Amino acid sequence: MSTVTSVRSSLAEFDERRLLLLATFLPLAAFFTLVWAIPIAYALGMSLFENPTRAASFAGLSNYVEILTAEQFPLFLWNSVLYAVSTTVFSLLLGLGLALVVNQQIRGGSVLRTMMIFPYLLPTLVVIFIWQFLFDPNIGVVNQWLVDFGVVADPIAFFSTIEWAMAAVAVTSVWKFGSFAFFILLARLQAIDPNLYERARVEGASTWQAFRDITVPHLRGAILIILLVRGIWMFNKFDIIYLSTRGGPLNATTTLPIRVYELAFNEVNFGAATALAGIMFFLLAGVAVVYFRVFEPEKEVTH
Amino acid sequence: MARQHSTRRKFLTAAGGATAVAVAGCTGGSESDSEGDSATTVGEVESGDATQTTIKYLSDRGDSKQVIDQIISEFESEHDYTVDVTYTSKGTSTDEQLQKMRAAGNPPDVVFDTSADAYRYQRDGDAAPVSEAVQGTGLPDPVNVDGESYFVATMVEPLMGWYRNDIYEENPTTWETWQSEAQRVSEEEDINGYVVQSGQTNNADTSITQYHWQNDVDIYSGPSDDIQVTIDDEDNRQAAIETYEWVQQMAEYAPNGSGWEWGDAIAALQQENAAAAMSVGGLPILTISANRPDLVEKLSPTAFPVPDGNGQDKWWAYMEGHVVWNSGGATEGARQFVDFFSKSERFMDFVLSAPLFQFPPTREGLDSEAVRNNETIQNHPDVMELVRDNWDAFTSVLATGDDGAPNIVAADAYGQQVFGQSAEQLLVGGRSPEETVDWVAEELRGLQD
Amino acid sequence: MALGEGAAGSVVPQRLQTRIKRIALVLVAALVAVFVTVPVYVMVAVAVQSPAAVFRGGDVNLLIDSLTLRNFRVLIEDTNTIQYFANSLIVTASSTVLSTALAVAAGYGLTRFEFTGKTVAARAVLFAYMFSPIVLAIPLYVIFFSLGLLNSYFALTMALTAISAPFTIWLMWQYFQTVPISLEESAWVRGASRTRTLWDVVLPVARPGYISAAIFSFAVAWNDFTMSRVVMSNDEMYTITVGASLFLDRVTIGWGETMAVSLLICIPPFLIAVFLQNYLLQGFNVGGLE
Repeated sequence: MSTVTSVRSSLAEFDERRLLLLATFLPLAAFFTLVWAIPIAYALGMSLFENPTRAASFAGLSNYVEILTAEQFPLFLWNSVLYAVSTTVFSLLLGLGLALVVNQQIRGGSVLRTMMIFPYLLPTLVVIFIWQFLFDPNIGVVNQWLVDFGVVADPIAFFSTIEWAMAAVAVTSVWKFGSFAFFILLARLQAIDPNLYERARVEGASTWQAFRDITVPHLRGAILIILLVRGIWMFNKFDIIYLSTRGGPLNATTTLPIRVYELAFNEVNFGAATALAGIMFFLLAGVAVVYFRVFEPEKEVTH
Repeated sequence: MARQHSTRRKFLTAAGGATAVAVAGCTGGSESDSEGDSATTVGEVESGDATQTTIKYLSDRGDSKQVIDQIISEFESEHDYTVDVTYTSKGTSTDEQLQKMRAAGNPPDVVFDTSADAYRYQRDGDAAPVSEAVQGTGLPDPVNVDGESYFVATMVEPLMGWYRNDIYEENPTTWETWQSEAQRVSEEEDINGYVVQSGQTNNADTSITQYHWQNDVDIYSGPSDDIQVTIDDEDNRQAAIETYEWVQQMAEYAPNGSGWEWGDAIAALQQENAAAAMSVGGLPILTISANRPDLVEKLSPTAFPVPDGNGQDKWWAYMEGHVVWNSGGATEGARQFVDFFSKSERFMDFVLSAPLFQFPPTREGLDSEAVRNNETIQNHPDVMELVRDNWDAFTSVLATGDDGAPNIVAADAYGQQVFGQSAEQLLVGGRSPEETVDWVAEELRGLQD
Repeated sequence: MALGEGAAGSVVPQRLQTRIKRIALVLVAALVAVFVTVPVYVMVAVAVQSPAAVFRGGDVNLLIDSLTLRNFRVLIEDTNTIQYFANSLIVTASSTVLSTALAVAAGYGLTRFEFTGKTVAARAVLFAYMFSPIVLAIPLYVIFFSLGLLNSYFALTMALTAISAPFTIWLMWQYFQTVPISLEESAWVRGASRTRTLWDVVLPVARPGYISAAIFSFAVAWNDFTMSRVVMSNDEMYTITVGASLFLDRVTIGWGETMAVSLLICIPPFLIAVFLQNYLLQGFNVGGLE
């Protein structure tokens, strides 16, 4: 396109452009400061105090030291990583698989699409009710079926046995969050020019090759960003775990956010709780910086 | 009584909200009030600009919302206060709300909580004395510090077990019989004989503590200001080990109860996965009568199992009621409110909004007409019999210092469900009974630092 | 486009490939359908039967053989469900509109205007998600309290928008990168203003993108528990999630009522999913514009 036109138009509309920019970013900056920046600064501030909501006394970094040297910190960290990675990867795979299927215009695809979006729109509270009901050892239908079909002799308390608790929480999370990747990837898939596939087919490329050379590059940006934000969210995910297992049994599902909650509201040690939140923040930020460096997820592939 | 309040109230309104706080401090005449100094300033600013002072009331009794609203409107029509209720769900959400309100300098005036929590607030310098509403009224006085009362009890919730009377021919009562009978039931019938709860839940914590009490384990000793953990002393260690051994054996005839709250154990009874479970009061009946009406008559209440030869002399009963906070903007109004509440004509409706589960805080109330005429209670005379017969044994976990003195370590241990966790260490974590006793003793001592 | 090189490398004949693909598709679809629908069915089955019917005989009976509105009646008579529900609808709708509008505007700005620190600013926004939201409840409460904004729809709308906006913006930024600028340039040539072009040319093309953004912000707002818990402390103002969590632990409320309120909560998401069908179906086609 002609550079002359763009230069001229950008000059002529300098004011409108500015206005648009302001209109776009000013309100955002305001919310952002109010709901994120100030509270985070406030919380980080609290992490430097002993007993910050009552008789606060400055404690320097002692809260951080206390958290990092706690005996069980590595276990909680491991649980968090395990939970975040497994749920992120599985929900991405589920979402991607299904987006590819639905994009193929198969019969019933539209029904499937409706169904897939649905779980994501349900509040966690509802999701937990449903899965608790399914997995409960007493009233749970999953156990009832397993026992009826002779798979197991006694009902398994999925949410409260060491071997199963993490898996049960992960299944519940994937059920809810699989659709997140699904609807974002579906929108991207539909944005791919069908002529590209047509041309590839004419040139004799296999389905796999077309997938590798057309689909994947187009989805790259979306997949990278899904991995990043989903990973962050799952690492910080509190409600789904707390409502289903409260971190038990024996800390088998105690992730760092659960620990933060325990510190804050069971042990009423707000200094330590905010310090742990701070540690998690710096951990994630560190990972994210590397991630941005390596992948540049906001870059689109140009073709 | 109410009239007297309203005259005094008129004077106070005239003097303005700020003075009300000051006067409250005087009439209360308590030393601990001075600790609330900085926060009182906030209260003055708050109430200074309002013509009608607002009492902020935090409650987890959504069940009784209608009655509470009625009591409040009666109170508001007789006093120049408005009452703002924030309902919280049971469990930790009250703590969460409290933390938020305190951090914002907007603390509540009245909190509905257990006596153990009231004592924690008192220790932290947050509670205002409410002696006038307690002393001389016949109400129990579980949180009495230096002669001042800090807790107005409104209800008692005793633990209670339920067993299937069609499967257990008679109540096994003793540890020994429970064990052999539970084994028989588990082996012969298609059902678990018992439920053993473990983990960080109230249900697990209360039942494990109660099992210790049944075996005469003195977990603590000493006066309020010098509580010692004695569970692993020479005298108690063996008894505590026996308790865990018994729990371990019973767990073999029970479904995996890790992380179970009240509702889970009740579900096990309801779905016929277990033939007996220890719970609180008639809670199981209230749930089961809606879901499995056919099962209700097959369930009988029981005391906790007890070792052969021991008596039921210490029976866990929750005590819940009102605590007035000293740093809110309407401390005096809050005092009047809690007093009004306890004396209200609707008080019994409040208690009986969950009959068989909540009982009046006094013997007199227990024998009152309101209780006798309650239909649900009439349908379960055996529950009332248990409650009447054991009334004098009812005690809270708070009253475990010497001679029933309030015990802050026990209150904190309950707050973190240390005993529930100990059962999980035993049953899920594979510790031996001996190691479990050591574990629990160490945890308890950790709370004292 | 590095595509031609593999053209001859294919061993499996294309017809067989297509058949395998077809079978795999149907299998995946069927599996997912079961995984997604069974839990929903269970919820419905428990909600529309009386608890005594569901639990009779010690098993859970999920074949719906008796219908009753008992559970819903309990909700309406004994709880504030309707009020909670209305509150949820109000804040969710406002926050969805606001967040999507912000995202479209900001996303457009990020792709069409060059300014320094653009990428850094956008990345910084995502860092907000890294702070564990549980402990933010206290600072947020303090802020809303000092602004006198507790118990207002306005405050909750703002708070919810702030949670969804960082990601919706990112989403739209990504999306606008796939919309060729040539479309707009040809409109400018014809004399349309930037704002006009945004409205007439860019928005229609960006539809699948902003629908994704709207779905996301709806999900955030409808799902929210934390913010509502912080901002609202008055029973009249609770949203359905907070309200339900309050009455569901009452001793008089059981699984029947729990599933009934869950079913009610599911209705708006369901309507949205059905309604969006039409939009998502239209797809997005830039092919003819090259």
